[in-house]
Amino acid sequence: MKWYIRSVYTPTVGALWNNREIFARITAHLRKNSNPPDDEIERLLSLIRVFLIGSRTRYVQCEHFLDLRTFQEHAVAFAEAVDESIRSLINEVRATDAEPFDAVIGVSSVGQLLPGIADRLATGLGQRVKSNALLLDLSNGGCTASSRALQLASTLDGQHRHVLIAVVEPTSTLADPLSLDRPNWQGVCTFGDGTAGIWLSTDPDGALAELGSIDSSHRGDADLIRWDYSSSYYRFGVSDFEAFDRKVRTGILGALGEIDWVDTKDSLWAVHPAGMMLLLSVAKRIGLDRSRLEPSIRHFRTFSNMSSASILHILRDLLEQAQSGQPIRWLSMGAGFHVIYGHCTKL
Amino acid sequence: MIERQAVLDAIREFVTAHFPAVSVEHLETLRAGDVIQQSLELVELVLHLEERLGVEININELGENLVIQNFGGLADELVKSEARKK
Repeated sequence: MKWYIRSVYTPTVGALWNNREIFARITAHLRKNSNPPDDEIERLLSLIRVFLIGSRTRYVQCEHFLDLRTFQEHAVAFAEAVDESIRSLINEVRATDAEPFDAVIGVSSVGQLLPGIADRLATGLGQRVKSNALLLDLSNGGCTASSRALQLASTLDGQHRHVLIAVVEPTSTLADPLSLDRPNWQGVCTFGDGTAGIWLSTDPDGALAELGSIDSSHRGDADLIRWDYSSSYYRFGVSDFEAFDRKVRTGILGALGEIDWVDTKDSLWAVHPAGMMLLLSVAKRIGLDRSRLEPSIRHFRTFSNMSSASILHILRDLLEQAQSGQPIRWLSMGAGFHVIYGHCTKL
Repeated sequence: MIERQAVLDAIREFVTAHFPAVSVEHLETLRAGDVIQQSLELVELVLHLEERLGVEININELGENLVIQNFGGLADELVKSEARKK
């Protein structure tokens, strides 16, 4: 059965913060609230400067994330950000002529909540979601979660003709503001908040693109990217901070040795913006020159790494610029360690 | 093993090509964080060093040295880092 991309929804949520602003806030916060020797704080701030070098921006849904202290404060911030994202997605879906959905898949890498994302979205969309629709949330998928949802949706049978995937990634609610753990701050500095949706259909009328196969590989290094835990919540963690770059690059290249991926000169590419180093080094090794990476770099400079929402934002940009018949390919990577390659063809 | 001078030569080549207004006469005393202002430039420097020196560099391992050290100190850190891998 063929699947088609009917629409991609990419509302922006939260407030726009640049690197200078977030660095100033973190600096004031750490100097005021941390107890270790000053030189330890100053070394951490220098590392944070490395993570925040340059003119990148991101959207922040939880602007008071440096004040989060308790589980309740983190969980409430997450739920409020999810609701903001769902409202913005509902507005975009209502602005299109979407058919009633047979399935809604909610996606988030960050937290848990009840009722879930799909249930909240279905309630908000009212008649646009069938009362007997399949509603489920896909969590714990890291930065490949939206691609996992696409992979899942494309295996559904003919009973599900219209599928909505909704991604909410309020990563700011995950920050552990009192931790001096380096991966925690790598996460705070690398991620931005974001949301996205995609309408898949078996009906080609009005479709933007035909979906091709989606292939994945997990590399058997499940701890490489993971949650660590404080007394109040969980936070971004990695198993080997100093060797992180090398292990991620090795994981991606190993996966690409297994996945049946191709490139053609006319292909447009979306690469998950895990970070500038990973973007450029991986692209270099798979033979993508800078110009073909530009949509992903542009996204990262504006939105930072919105976890699994990023790839859908870049995909939407590429669908707008692609010519009829032009292939669009994407590569996402994240916790697991997990890599997904997908492609579609603009109609 | 990599040679300190080879690291400095590669850094000099990069700075000359990307920042022609910066004098490299006293390269070792220049602070990396004063020369490099954008993440793209930082990544390009690291990729340039990887290519010229034939090594894989972990940005997290160099960490804050990338902005607080001068290029001489950064070369020392890279030499030490590579020696630890042996």
